[in-house]
Amino acid sequence: MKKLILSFFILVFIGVGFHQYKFSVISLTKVPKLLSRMRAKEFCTCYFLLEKGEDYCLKFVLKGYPQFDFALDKVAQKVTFSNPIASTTAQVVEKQYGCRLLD
Amino acid sequence: MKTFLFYTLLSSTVFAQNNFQKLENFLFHKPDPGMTTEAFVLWHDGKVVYDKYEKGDEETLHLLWSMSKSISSFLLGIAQDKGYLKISDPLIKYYKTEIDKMPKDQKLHYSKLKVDHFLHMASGLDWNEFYEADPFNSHVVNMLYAKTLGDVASYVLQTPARHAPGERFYYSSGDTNVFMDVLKKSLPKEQQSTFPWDWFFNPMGIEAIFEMDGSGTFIGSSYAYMKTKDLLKLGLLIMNKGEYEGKRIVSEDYINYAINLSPYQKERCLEDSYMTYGAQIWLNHKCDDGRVPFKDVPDDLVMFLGHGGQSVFVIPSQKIIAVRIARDVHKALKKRKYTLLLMESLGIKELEK
Repeated sequence: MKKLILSFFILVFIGVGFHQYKFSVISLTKVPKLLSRMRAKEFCTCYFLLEKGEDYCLKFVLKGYPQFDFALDKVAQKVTFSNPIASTTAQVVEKQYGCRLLD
Repeated sequence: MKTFLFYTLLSSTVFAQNNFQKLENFLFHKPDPGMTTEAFVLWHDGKVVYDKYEKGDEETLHLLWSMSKSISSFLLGIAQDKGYLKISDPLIKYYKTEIDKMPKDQKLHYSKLKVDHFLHMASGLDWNEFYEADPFNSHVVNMLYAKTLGDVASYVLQTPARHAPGERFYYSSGDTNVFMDVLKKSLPKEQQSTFPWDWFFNPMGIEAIFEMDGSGTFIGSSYAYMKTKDLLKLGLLIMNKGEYEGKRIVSEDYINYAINLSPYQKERCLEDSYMTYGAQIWLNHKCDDGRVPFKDVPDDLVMFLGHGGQSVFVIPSQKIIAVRIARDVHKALKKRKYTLLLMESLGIKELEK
């Protein structure tokens, strides 16, 4: 009987652990990617379309959170925001069609 | 005589200043908590009577966010006027392959949907429009920042049903992007990327940006950009029943349809939202039982509203258009108070009953 109860708890423990692992993996990959996309798109809009200036736009998109990596290509009208897990580039397609996320 | 003229001029200047001082205080100097007004333009009976720019000027470009929805509505109306589609068209006419592949229940729901349900935010889809509250589980955030790489409408059309078509109002950016995709599909290929300029922006002299998703559908829910001076033209279009400087842009029939209470809100008026809604345009329209969202405010008030509190308020009966560029926290602007101040500043204190 003891063995049965123990096995049950072990199974529950493994099940919960797997669920948490799956959730963590999703969060670890999805959230940083979404954040880099939001930052790239918002910065592209702010800097290239609304012409608000680099400092203003960086402050606006980061909202006080730390920045890992940021590359601005003024000639190609392109910006890339990266964090240790994900990276996204946004670029002005054509002035009248605005900015588009590339990845 | 000279002295008389001097005092007359002086008193009229002082009077004019006093008229707008209260409004200016409310907007710029002593705003309600959470309100930040960057620019304001007030038009009355044929001319701009007051404007003030704290940031930028009339040439400053703005991302319209949800005000884009109203432009999308005009574009759909024009497409109908030109005979490319009907807003009464069933959705399945444009997505037969996609709907045929759906599970049985979902297929049944989608088969009953019309373009008009999306135009009036009554698709009944189980959509999540939250931004700040839970961004990582938000359909709209996912749509705007992940799905714009591909086909936004196909992402929305994966959403299961929650209510029967037309049964409930639920404000959904997804609904707007579906009808924008329908609009694209209804057009010849060579017009699909230029129609907003050909039909709307260029004839009205508007310098605009309009962003697309990866499939070439305009993100009509959120991503149009316009200058402050051009926002006034949206109001004039309503005021002149679809005409701009003598040119017919949208039919009068469509404008009337767009600024009238949604046919799907009649039974549950003011139950699913605190304001009434037309075709992608907010209203102060009276419910059938006589209730009105904002008491003492004309019931023909039309509002284009966007993220951050930016807005165009139009009151055709009083010949008023007010453009406000803002960076408010969510719902900081008290719309009834603001509208009453607009009227008061113009000497319109009481409504003619």
